Amino acid sequence: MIEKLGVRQVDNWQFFLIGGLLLLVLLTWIELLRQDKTQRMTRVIAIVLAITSLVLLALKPFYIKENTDDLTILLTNGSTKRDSLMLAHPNARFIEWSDTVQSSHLSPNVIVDGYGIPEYDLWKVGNRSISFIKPLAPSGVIDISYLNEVNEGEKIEISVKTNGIAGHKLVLQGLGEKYDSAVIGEGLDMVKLSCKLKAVGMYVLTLSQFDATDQLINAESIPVIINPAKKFDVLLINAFPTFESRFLKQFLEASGHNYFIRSQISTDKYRYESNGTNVNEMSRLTEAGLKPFDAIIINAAQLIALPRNQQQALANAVQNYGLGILVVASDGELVNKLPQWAYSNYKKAKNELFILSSNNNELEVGTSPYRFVPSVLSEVVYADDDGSIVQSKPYGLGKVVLSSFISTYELSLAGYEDAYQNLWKKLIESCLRPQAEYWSIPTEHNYVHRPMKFELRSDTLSRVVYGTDDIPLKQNLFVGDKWVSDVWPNNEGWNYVDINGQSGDRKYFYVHKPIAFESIQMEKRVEANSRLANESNMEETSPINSKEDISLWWFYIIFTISMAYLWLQPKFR
Amino acid sequence: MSSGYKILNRLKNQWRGLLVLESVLWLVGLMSLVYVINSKYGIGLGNVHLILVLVPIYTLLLLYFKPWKVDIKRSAQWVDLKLEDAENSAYLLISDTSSLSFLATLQQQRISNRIAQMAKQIYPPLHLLRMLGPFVIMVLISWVINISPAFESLHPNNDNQNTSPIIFNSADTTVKKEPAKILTQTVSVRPPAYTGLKSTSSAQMNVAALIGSRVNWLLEFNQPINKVLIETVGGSQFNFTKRNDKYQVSLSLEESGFYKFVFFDEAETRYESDIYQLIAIEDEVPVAEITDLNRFTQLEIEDPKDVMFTTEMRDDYGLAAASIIATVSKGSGESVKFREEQLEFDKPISMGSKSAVRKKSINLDDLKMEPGDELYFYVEVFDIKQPNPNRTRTETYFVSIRDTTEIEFTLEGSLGVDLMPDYFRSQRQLIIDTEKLIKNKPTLAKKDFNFTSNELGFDQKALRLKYGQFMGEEFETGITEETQEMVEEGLGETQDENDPLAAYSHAHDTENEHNLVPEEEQEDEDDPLKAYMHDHDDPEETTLYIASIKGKLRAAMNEMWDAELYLRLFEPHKSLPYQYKALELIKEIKNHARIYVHRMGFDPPPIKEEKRLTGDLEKVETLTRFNENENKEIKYPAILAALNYIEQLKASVTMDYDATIFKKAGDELGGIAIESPVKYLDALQNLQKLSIRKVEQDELPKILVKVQNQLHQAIPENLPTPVTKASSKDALTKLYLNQLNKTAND
Repeated sequence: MIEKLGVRQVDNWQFFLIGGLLLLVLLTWIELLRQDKTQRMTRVIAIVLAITSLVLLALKPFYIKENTDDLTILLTNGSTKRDSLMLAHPNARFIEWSDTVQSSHLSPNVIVDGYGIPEYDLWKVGNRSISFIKPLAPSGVIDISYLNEVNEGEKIEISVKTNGIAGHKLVLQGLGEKYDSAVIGEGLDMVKLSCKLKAVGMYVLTLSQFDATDQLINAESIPVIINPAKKFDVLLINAFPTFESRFLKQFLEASGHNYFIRSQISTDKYRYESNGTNVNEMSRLTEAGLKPFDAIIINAAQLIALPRNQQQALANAVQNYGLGILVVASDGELVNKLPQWAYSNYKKAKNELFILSSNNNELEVGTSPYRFVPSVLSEVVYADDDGSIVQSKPYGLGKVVLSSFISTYELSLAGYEDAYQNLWKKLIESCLRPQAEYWSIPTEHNYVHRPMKFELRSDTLSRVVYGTDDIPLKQNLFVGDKWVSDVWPNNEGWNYVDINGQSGDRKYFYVHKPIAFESIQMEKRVEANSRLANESNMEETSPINSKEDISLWWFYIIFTISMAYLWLQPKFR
Repeated sequence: MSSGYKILNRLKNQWRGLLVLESVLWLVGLMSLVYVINSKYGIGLGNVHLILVLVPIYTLLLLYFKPWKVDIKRSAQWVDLKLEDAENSAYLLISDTSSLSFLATLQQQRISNRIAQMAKQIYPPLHLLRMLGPFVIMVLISWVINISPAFESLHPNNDNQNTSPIIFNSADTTVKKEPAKILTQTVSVRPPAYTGLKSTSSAQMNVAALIGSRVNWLLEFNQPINKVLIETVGGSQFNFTKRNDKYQVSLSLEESGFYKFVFFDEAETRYESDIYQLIAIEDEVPVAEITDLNRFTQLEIEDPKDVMFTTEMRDDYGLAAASIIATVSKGSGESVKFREEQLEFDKPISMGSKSAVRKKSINLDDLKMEPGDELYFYVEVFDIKQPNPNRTRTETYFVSIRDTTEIEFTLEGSLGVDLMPDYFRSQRQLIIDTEKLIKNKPTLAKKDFNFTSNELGFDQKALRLKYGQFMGEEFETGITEETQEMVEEGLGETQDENDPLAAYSHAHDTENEHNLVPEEEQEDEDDPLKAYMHDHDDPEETTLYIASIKGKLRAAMNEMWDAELYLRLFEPHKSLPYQYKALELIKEIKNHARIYVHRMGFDPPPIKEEKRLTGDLEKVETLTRFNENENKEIKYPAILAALNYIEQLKASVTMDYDATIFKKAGDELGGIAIESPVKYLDALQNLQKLSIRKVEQDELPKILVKVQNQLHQAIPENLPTPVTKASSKDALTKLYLNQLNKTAND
């Protein structure tokens, strides 16, 4: 019985009880001292009832009730089957979903009709058995996928999935210009729109939907952040100056990147050329000396000629610090002699040319007479019918890239500067050390007054500030440097969080208004509810109890009657 | 005076009036045409000029219509003609009564009364169509010329669509006072004297004129001001000088750009105008072309030594001079000599003529040319531009006299002269021609295809023969029929040796049976001096090249032989690999034989023999060169800042903005806009308005979007530059990757 009862006034309940007991004792003692002994017992009982009622009025008791209702039907946004459900389940409880619906209001079995419970409220369902009546897919744009942060010079590519808007046109525009458009096909369709912004900064593009008569149906904001291209440091190790290294040097300079070139004059004698790096000399390759660089470009012959300890330093630098090494191997026999960590299987090639497509031109680039054989973890960068000309494989945190291109500078000499730059852009990017990102805010849309998840990677607890509030972080139990938290943005538009409370480390994110991307929201909600419905299992549910308050009127009535008796009884004696 | 007379007088006056009116209508029609054409096409007539034009035109019209010729006599004739009731007696009304007879007097009175009664029917001749027709037509034509876009102004200075007055705004937004207004604004352009163009003036402040023109601005304000100047986008300032309440400045136009007017009132408040553009048009270089002559001409010895050609020249403002620069080359190889001469046309160019066609005949004998010599010439033309005339020249034409004493090689194409300074060029040409032949095979007839293939085979043989010369200095041999013949001769001799009777028998059916050709004596193989003798006879013993080169050359000739074989067999596609190989070998030979010379003027330090090749690296120091990376700075920072600022403004509720951002962006854009002023004028004007806050609040969002687009267009495309990808790897992922690598490597 006791485990089925409780009180709402949990703070200082002891004082109420002790006070009541003391009062009871006092009044009972007074009553026992009275000379008039008529109806003494009745009076004592009345005193006990009165004091007990008074104490219970203060403590507000309740009792635990087992929820014996079998079924709750939740009617959410887009619900269309209310009438048929009422006919099918006349005894079920029908609840219109809102933010105030609590978990305790739900039965062990729940049917959800409409687009479903919002994802951030799905926890309220708990481990109940859920049946979800999946609605028809909403029409319109039902999914958008794109990288909302790109580097300067990169294209922004937006994949849009639509449903049921055949003949409509999607137009991507921004900065007063129309960038791309696509006409939607029948049923479920996916289109790709792209644009390239030339200026660094944060912009909000617009994705407009026009119907077949060019009437504007909808316009959504597409926020993008163009980050400045981070400058990196490249180390070139030459046996002697070559045309290839000279043109590469010019390319890196034109792009604003730093380089350090080591050319060998004789044994232990080198000539260095530095542009923007803080390195003065590098007669010996050491792990610490290589750490500042983001990529190393070295000829295979030179790599083989390095002493073993310097080769190991290179390997360790790639493995431990994540930098990449591009080995230019112009001869198959040299590939054979590469150290194990850089080696790749290769085979003879039928021709020594690679046809590079650039601006509707088919350009020939010379290659060595062999091709690499891709292995399990390798990634092909350039290949033709014979095999891989450039391929990369991961090594620890970094990458080893092997290339059999020779004399690529001839492209530049022939006037195909664009082709040369694009070729080397891809080669260098394949081996460049990735920029460590400590933050991640999901690129899914964030809405005002709705929770937004973000992750932080840090070995130590950091302070994260949103506006003027510190955000509490929850550490992952198994991956100690991973912290997650929820942020509830309260402003539309661009918001930001600061790590360590400093504006130097600021992460911007865009918050949409609640009605933005309505069809996408509905689609995602349907997916989340479907997933939950599939995961739930009716047999594993446990009955849910609820607290029912005992009406205080009872105690008031008992107290009143008891006091009335105690007061009236002497008068009627 | 009788009433009839008065009526006639009145008729005369009316008639004269009509004629004057008609002349005036003609005058108005003509003047409206003149006015419209003047304003549309910038003829440059001012009001005074128009008045001066009006007077003679009206005089001519009066002389044509002659209203004074209408006298009373003519009026009377007119009445007689038109009124039957006048009974041809109207003249009596103007006659002196005292000279008339009684009957005439009676008639006079009678007619006078009658005419007086019919006065309303008497009016001068009225030709409405003749009077109004031309006037209406001329006015209509003027109106059409004025409004029709088909008659667009050719002179941008006189663009009627935009002659709005200069409006000034205060640079200080807190100043509420109305700025001074412009009463008159004139910009006159005086082109350089050599062009012969007239000066033009206009109220349109966007100026497009020839480089070197003198541009004069004249402004008049409605109130006194302190100072007025012109300020260019680059920041240069030019003050106006005051003359008779008007302000004037004169500048020479040297380059395109933008400018605005700035004045300071008496309270030293600064006011600025809109931005206007200056377009500097360049004087184009003259155009010259030689016709009637092939690019390469080869004359035989017996051909007439005259080379005739025609030169067509033209220039936008006038030609100044033209001459022929001829270079004669004599000799070949290292002993070649060049002699340059300047020849003139028979009829010189008249200074200032816009176009000219001149014929010229060059006599090669006058140039002392001999067979084997070559003449290169071109025509050089100057225009009248001052101070530095523009120069142009035609293509170089080649004339040579064939020297039949030299062995020549037939070359493909229409080349008339031997353009083979490089020995190895022909093989490449053969490859090109073979590839072309293969490509054209579907369109060629079989006969032509085979013929061309055979021709190429012949050329290949000729080339092979030429290379064969290098195998032996004095012998033109190689792996040819001659070699084959030698082999056969050798075989023949061997057979003779084996036959003991050969020396004594008279062998028939053998070559040289009658010993008509002296036989070569066979060398003694055991000649001890052979190793020390310099043998010129045997190509195998030649010492012209080292052995490897010889081998390569022999190999090249082998390839040429195979190439020739397939060409002769009309299978050029099979010959191509051999030709490629031959070319490759020849290239290797060429590179091997290449010598390197140091630059002129460089004397390397003398080599110290005692240190040379010792391998002593003590003094060889490690060198580090530091370069400054000039591409690290952010380009166009002000424009980027403005772009981002506009994006923020678009999202903000209030449109209160910082004008200095737009001013800086405008200054930066001005630097870019110099290359293409027309393209960025609108953007500059919008930025100007934003920087002085002269954009209406309801127009502001639209202007901001427009400016944002224009600024974004102005930024050049980024170079394809490698970028680092973002990657977040937590400890677990790192562990996983390491383990994966270990497993892959094991």
